[in-house]
Amino acid sequence: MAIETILIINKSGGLIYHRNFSESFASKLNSNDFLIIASTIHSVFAIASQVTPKALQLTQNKVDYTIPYIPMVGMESSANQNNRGNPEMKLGSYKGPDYFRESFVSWNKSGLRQLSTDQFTMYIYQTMTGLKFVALSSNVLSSHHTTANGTVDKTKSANLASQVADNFLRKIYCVYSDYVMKDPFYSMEMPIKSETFDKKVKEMVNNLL
Amino acid sequence: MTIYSFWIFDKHCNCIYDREWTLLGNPKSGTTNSKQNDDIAKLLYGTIFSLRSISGKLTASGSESANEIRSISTGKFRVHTYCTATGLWFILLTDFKPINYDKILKHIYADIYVKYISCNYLSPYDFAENESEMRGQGVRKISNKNFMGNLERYLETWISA
Repeated sequence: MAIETILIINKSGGLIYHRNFSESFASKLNSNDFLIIASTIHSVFAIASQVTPKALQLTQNKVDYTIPYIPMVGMESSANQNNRGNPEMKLGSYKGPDYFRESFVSWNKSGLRQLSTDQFTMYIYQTMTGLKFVALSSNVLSSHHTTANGTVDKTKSANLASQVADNFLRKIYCVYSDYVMKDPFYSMEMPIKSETFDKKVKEMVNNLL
Repeated sequence: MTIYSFWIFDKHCNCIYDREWTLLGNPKSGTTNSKQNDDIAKLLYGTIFSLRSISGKLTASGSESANEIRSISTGKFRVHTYCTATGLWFILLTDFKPINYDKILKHIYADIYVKYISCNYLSPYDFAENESEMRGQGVRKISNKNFMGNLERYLETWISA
């Protein structure tokens, strides 16, 4: 799972953080284009819940929003660390590398979660406060085909990718809470300029490769 | 796999066919070309239109082909899209399991739409007859019995599955 771009969109649709990790997708776009993309995602996110099919509104079927815990997403494995003699990487300023060890319930229940196109897949993780973490990944959902009797081969791997993305973005949220929210010089809803945050995100994306 | 609804939009942003199944697993239930769905159709069109413009901007450098949307998912359902070169959109709303419905939508276009609407002399060439029916203001919908019957029979297997 190669992450190309990470965006953070604040609760009013403004882009507060944007980092490209490769040149492949963003080479033609300037920062203004990304502002437009961010606000479009924000508005579509709200509209998406409005088009919920009637069949779903009528039946109160329980959807399980629990996302299973996936170990060490975006963290360097301990074997690697020992080999290179690095100090143990921490998630936030003091939390261990794999602080969250239990499955969690997604807050994003009716909004946009994933956008898959021919060239990329976009994953959106929304926090309880309305902040959105967007990851653009260059791997696309495998194009497997359904047969008449409904057997599907690769549903699992596509599901796994979105679970990994949710686990990963939650960790980014944790790093955000530690390095951005605890920064006394950060003003709310404004672009994130923190270098430590930037460095941590970059490390985590590199570990994910 | 469950199918909730099926939509066709033409190049003038008009919804020219909509079919919604309101009871899960019952292919006979639901509405066809319902007036109540007009607003939903517009929201759906807007969602896909905006996301298409994003994916159009975010194309990998060096690739010649347009970056088309395959599916959009929320926590509850998934929207599968298939866009033709003539500006038609075939939209299928299903449960959120990541299954590829491209073949199904392609079949609906190539073997059902083309056969009963495009190749039909009595069917209008363009569903918007004048300027005032363009830009999402259209009222005409597909009412061809053969088309509806065949579509129904084709999708039935996937609804009850």
